[in-house]
Amino acid sequence: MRSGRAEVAVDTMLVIGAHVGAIWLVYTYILGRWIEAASLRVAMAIPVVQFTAILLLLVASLMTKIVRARNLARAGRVDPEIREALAMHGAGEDRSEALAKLRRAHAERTGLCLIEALASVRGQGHERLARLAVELGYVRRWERQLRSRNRPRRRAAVTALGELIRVAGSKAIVKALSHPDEDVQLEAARVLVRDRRSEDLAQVFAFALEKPLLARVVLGGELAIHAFTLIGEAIPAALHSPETRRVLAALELLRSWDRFLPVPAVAGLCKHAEPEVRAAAVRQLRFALLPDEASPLALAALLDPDPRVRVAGAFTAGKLHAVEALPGLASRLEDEAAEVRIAAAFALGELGPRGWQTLENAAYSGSPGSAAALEALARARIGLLSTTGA
Amino acid sequence: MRELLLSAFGLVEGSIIAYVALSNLSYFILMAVGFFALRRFNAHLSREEKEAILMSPAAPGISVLAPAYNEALSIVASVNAQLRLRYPSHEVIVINDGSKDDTLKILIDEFHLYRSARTPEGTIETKAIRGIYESRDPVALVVVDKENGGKADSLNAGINVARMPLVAAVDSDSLLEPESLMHIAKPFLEDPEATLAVGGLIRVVNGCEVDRGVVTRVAAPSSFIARVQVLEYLRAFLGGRLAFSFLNCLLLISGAFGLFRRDALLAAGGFDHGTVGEDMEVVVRMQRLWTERGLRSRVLFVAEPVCWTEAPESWKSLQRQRNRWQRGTVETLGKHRKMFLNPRYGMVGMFGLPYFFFFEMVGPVIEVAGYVCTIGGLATGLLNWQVALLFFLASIVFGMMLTAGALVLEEFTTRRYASPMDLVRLLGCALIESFGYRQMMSFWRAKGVLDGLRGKKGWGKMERLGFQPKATK
Repeated sequence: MRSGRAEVAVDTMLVIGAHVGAIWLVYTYILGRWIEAASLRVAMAIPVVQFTAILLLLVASLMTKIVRARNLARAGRVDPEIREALAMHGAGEDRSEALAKLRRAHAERTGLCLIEALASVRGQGHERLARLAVELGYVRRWERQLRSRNRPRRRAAVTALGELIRVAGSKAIVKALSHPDEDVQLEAARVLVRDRRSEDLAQVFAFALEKPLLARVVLGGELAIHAFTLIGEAIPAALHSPETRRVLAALELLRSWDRFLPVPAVAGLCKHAEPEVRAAAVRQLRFALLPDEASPLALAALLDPDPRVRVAGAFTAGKLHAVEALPGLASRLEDEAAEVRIAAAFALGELGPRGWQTLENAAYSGSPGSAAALEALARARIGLLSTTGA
Repeated sequence: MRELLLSAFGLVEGSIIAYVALSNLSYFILMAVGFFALRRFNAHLSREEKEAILMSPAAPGISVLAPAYNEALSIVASVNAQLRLRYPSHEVIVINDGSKDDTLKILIDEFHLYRSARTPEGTIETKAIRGIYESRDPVALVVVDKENGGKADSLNAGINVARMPLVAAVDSDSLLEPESLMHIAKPFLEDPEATLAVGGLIRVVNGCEVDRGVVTRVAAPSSFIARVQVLEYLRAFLGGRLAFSFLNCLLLISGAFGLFRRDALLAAGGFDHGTVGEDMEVVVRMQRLWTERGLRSRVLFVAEPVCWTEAPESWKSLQRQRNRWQRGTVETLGKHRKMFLNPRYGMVGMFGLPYFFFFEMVGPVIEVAGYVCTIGGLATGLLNWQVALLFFLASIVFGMMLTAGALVLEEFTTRRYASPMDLVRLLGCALIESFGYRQMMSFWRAKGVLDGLRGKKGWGKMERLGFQPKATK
């Protein structure tokens, strides 16, 4: 299958080619009889072809609507029978013959009802239906659908094959991880993760690390189920990777889980050469280490040369309610970077009365941090403290 | 002598016809590219993906910037709608640009605002800020009250005050669909390093039913002037923005709804308040800066996030708007002429800018010249009817077909006008648009080019009807 850009280029060329061909036909065989001047003939042929194309498109649109309406009507007639047969088959009664007949008569509807049933049934019923799908040849059908030109159909095929993993294996889905369509890749990854088996987990995790942030955002929730498995080996290995991108990707995943998971390797990353990595690691400290291990590292981050790391340090100190960070945060109110001053002020706002006292002292001092201190105080008083942008 | 005149006239007319035909042909090709790109790349987020994004702390925060000037009628509805947008982390920053009505007072009363100590962190110069307000209620709303400085100046003030990594520039009377931020932020999740800005689809709200800031029923407008603008927007987005986005040479993100990287805007110096085409100029400037820094960049258009906006219903307002758009194009092209046909600037320099120059800027002037030459030539006998017919076919008929084609292609893509009667009305409009409206538009745009070259400034005034719930007939 072609890549997306190649697909668009080829389709465009085909349309242009078809138009040119049609214009030539009209020019030569239709208008040639009535118009002598070549330029006029071309100029007439173009709108004739376009008008015809528009008419055809309108007809196609109308036909699509009619077909859709008919399919809906057919679904209304046929689906209850299919669903009943599937329900009985899932419950233990052998309806494979009847379903084979229905499959021959209404392959598409039977397939769709089967996918619905597989998605809603678990346990032995699911297994019976999955075997039925294999027997009725739907595995091959859905594997062929992976090469369809219709994007929703490709995605649906992945989802459908995902329901058959335990019976038909995951080979097709694993292969779909390198499909030219990124949507299919992502859906394949989600299907593999949801299967809850660990065999393919390493591949999905590697996929999530290689792909853009979107993949990690979408897969983050699904991978959370396997968090404890991943923090055993896969995540520490990624955090120790010499590639900064992989390290950052692993930290993004950890962050997306938003819960405590002991990952001691995060501590070492607070001294990483790249400031982006240091900042991400410092933000993760409160989820990766115990408070008395995390606080000193957050405090040390307040002195980092990079403002992003200092912001992360202030944010984490605030979230940890690290009272020992008071002097460090107070000094950050005079930081040269405005975002550090704001982060420090908001962090002080989370440290209770002593933090607020520090803010009050700073608020009326006329220093660069006064405005940030005033803002944090107001928010703390209203009880709406949040560290925006952090 | 007459023979010489005849040949010269024929040559001029022939050149104009060839130009117009080429212009329409290029539009046709771009429409084909845009259509297939939309079908291939317009990834509709599934329900699970939307939920994953909504719950993810990794999704970048967005500051929604809404400049407001004398918006007392609609500001509360607009702000409420913007606060209700579905996105994990966003704040709404309304910039009251020295309104002479009660816009600020209405906001203070409605949202229980207090004067905050929040200070602008950005470094773009703007008119003086009189105060920054935040809400006592648990809503992420900030109101910046400033001296009047225009839309670009207001946006810059908003950029300075914003704290999220992305800023969405919207018109205060734009109606965003509830999930529009999610869709428009998606490209930033796909390539956070290279993506500088993303534009969303703008649709005409005239004729639609609106309830509490949400479009509840889509319908074609009843007036011809609004209907024809629906067609223009469709043509521009399907045939222009999508294709340019695919080719990575998009020059323009609509001021009604665009999402930008805040750091990129700050690095580029924000919106230029010295131009009336600030939305186009800033996009070109950001791409120029990133190229000169040797960094990868992309500016995209995505058709999924929809912003509804009110189209002018009076001819005078429409004329002022189109004049301003054309002046903006002239100013931007002039300001960045160094990039023109310069391979250093990639597709933007080699295709985007030349296309805009040859077809968007010069096009209306040549088309008007074509009408004048054709009518004058026929009247004086310097032109025969076949040549006149050729011009008619190349400009009017071909253009008519392109518009009808764009409308029909919309049926296969975004398909917002569900009612067949709406499609019929719009098709009818597509056919009659070319007899009178198109010529008038070419003339206005040509005047806009001349005004731009003469250095005319100013925005003019648009009369707003406001969004009112409409009863169905």
